[in-house]
Amino acid sequence: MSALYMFPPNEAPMEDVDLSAGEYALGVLDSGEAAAIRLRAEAEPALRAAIARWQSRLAYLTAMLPLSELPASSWERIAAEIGAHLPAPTLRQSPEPEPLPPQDAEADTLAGLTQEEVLPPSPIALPEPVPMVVPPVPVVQPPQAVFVEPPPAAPRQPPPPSEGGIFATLAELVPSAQDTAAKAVPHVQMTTLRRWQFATAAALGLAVALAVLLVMSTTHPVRSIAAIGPVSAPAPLFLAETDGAGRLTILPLATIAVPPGRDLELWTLPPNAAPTLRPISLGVLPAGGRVLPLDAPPPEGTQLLVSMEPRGGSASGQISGQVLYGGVLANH
Amino acid sequence: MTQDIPVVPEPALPDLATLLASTSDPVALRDLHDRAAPLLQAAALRLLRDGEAAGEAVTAVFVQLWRGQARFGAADGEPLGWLLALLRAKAVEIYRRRQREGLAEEEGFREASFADDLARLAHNQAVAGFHAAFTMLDLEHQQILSLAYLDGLSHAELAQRLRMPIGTARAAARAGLERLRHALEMTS
Repeated sequence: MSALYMFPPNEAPMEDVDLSAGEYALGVLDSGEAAAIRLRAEAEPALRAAIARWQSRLAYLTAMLPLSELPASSWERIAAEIGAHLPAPTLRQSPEPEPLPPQDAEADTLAGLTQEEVLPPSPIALPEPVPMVVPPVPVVQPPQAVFVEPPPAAPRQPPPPSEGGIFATLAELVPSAQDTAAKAVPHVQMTTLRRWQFATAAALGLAVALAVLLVMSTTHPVRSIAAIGPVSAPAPLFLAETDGAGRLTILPLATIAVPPGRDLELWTLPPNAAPTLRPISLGVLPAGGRVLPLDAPPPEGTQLLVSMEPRGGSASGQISGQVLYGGVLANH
Repeated sequence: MTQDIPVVPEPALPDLATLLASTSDPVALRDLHDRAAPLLQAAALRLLRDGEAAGEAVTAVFVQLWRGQARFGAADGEPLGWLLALLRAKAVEIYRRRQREGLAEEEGFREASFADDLARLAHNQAVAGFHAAFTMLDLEHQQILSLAYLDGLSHAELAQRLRMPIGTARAAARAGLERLRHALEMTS
């Protein structure tokens, strides 16, 4: 009899429960033991979360696998099963595993992104939001209409070129938490960076398009500023500023065309938010911008996100639509 | 505004969790396949040690997603970990069936060198953080975690393979998990 059984299930130390979750995710339990854990997890969200955390941790082990060819018929086989008639994908495979270019590995850690509820604390935990030095974005900018429709599912874009076969896939899906030290990223890397921001966001289960961040090199101690925009835009679409009076002002830098029946909603996440924290709504964001009185000025590193929601904002109080834009407050 | 310049958010890279939310859409399913199938195939190949069986496991995962028999949710953690868990479940089913049919290889399967495995892990900069934590474990624990997760060995199979009593294998796997967790917490 192991120590675990000396406790009634609900009083077993968390340690043991977490390791049982680990054993389940590792796949070492026999079918009876595994079924018992599965059953228990249905009633215990904490156990379910622990299993998910272990599954995420252990997924890294797949980086030990040799590169293997995905059979050319892989998609056809699935398509035949489901009766879908779509052309075969262009497979993203390279003959040799290539190490990721350093700037990619670096950029991978740079997303000051928000995180989903049960994101494991380590090492998949988010890097801290990192201020990114870019050339100052002109605040006065020729207005342009911007359509914020989500990207169409079709026509299909060809997959981006391979950057290291299956290992690139792994890198996209399981971002490294190493190397989270703040690093200035030259502007020339933006294309790469954007791609990785998306990839990292994908790994986090949230389509955050982190925008160009604006770091002004003044010494003003109080005001913070964030530029909020989509990855594809050449410049931010919103400018967020806090002032000494504790107000957060969101100014549009372009004319935003929101589809009928939809509203943009503004969300915030404090710096170094716990993995379980979900973005907090700051309410609907009119296309013309908004001034929000705040109890306390948000600290540097606060993340701001803009999602597209049904008219009036998300009914659940959580992000329900696609996150289109994001930015991180930086002092200036 | 008089000048309408549509700027559509970048469509090129689909979000995995978004794709997982729309797997009844064949386009989304195919995008998901593009992104995840090579890694799933590699994992299946190690688990099943047969290309045909591995393809069957990968296909089964996507068919399951298409039919809505497995749904990724907010509580499921990180998409890749979840997908690999689905794959492992399918691989176990297929392995057992092949065992019954006398197709599954038994002993002596692991031709892959553990040193090569470790070298691949070490060379993958994208997982440098994990590697740093993993190398803090004893070789024995590293190997047990790898044999269990990648090769799909159960406690009983680990015991047989490492020539130790099953209780010892169980304790070693548990210690490996505990040390990995500790190392990941230390290095993060």
